[in-house]
Amino acid sequence: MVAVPGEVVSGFGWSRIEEIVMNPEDGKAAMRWHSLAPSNSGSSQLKWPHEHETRGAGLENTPGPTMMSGISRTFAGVAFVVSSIVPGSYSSSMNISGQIVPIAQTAAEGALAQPRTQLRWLNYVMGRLDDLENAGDDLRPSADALASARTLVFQLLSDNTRSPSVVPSDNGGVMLAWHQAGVDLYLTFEDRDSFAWARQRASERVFLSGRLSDHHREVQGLLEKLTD
Amino acid sequence: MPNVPCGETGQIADADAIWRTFKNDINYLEYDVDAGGWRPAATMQAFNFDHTTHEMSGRWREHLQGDGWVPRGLVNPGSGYSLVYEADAGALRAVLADGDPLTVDHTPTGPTPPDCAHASVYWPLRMEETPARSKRLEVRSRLADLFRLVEGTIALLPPN
Repeated sequence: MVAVPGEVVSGFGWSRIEEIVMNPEDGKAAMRWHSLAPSNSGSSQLKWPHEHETRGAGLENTPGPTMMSGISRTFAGVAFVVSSIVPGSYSSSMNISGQIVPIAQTAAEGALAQPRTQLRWLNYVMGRLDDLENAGDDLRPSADALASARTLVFQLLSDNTRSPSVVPSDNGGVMLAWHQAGVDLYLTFEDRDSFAWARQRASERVFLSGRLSDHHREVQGLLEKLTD
Repeated sequence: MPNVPCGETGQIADADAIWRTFKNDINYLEYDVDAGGWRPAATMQAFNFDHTTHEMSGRWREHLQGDGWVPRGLVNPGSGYSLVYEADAGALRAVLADGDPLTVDHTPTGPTPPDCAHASVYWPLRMEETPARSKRLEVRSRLADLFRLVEGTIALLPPN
């Protein structure tokens, strides 16, 4: 699988890879990363910062995309944002664990052109999704809806997109809401699908409504504008 | 003076207003960057229309004021519903759901305040009908536009 600086990989948690260091002699690699929401993380119980070693990961440090494979899965679904990949020696502390899976080809393509080293909304959005995951039955979205939200935000939001409100929605879903620049934008994530809806507030004209997959680029374009 | 006598059901005048309590909770509110403040979320949790009757409850402002009530009287501290918003009945009635206006009526549920000032906002649907997601958002986001805070303080920081 491909990991490049700026790429966002995988799904349920979130961390930022600060450095991936490989030992050219034995092929082992170490990853230094920051847990961006240390208060929760659930399955991983990770603190900031941490250093982890990949044992036999087969990381090849090559120009351009770097191949990573053979990483064992212990804390599944951790999301990583790769900010740099640096050749050199490594330090060992424990096994790397975490299945590293590119969440979307588009993320990798974007990363090649422009590394995503800072995601303004990441802490807030992921923290809120965690809050909802731990909320009472009447508010807690389904696991699938939360997973969908945690994955798709990386594809849709720009680095500087302003943090949205994150609230439980109808049908056990989760909704991200922006009210800015005269636009109301809602992204709704549910078990089986995700939806986008937007209107111009002044005219009340709805100009976006439907499945997110049908409006992916429109939503991306809109979110690029919803910055300060 | 109220245009519908106490204890009787009827249409509330356009110029009168509905008070409705909202939960002072981040799960029920959305931040409005343009307005620089929080507004009710356009969700079922904040604007809860009964699945069967398609009714959302409120209180008729003028009726309560006639009995000396102020918005604070509707606050139930223990429940978390510490925010009172109001919206003009005429403005609510102008909200269209699939071309049909919402209905705003006085629907007393008891003889004394605040029950005697109970008001109902009805979504114009047939009993078995469930509005599409886009329609739900359209109506609820419009309602969120119309309701203005008249009691309570929201201490939440904006999403950051």
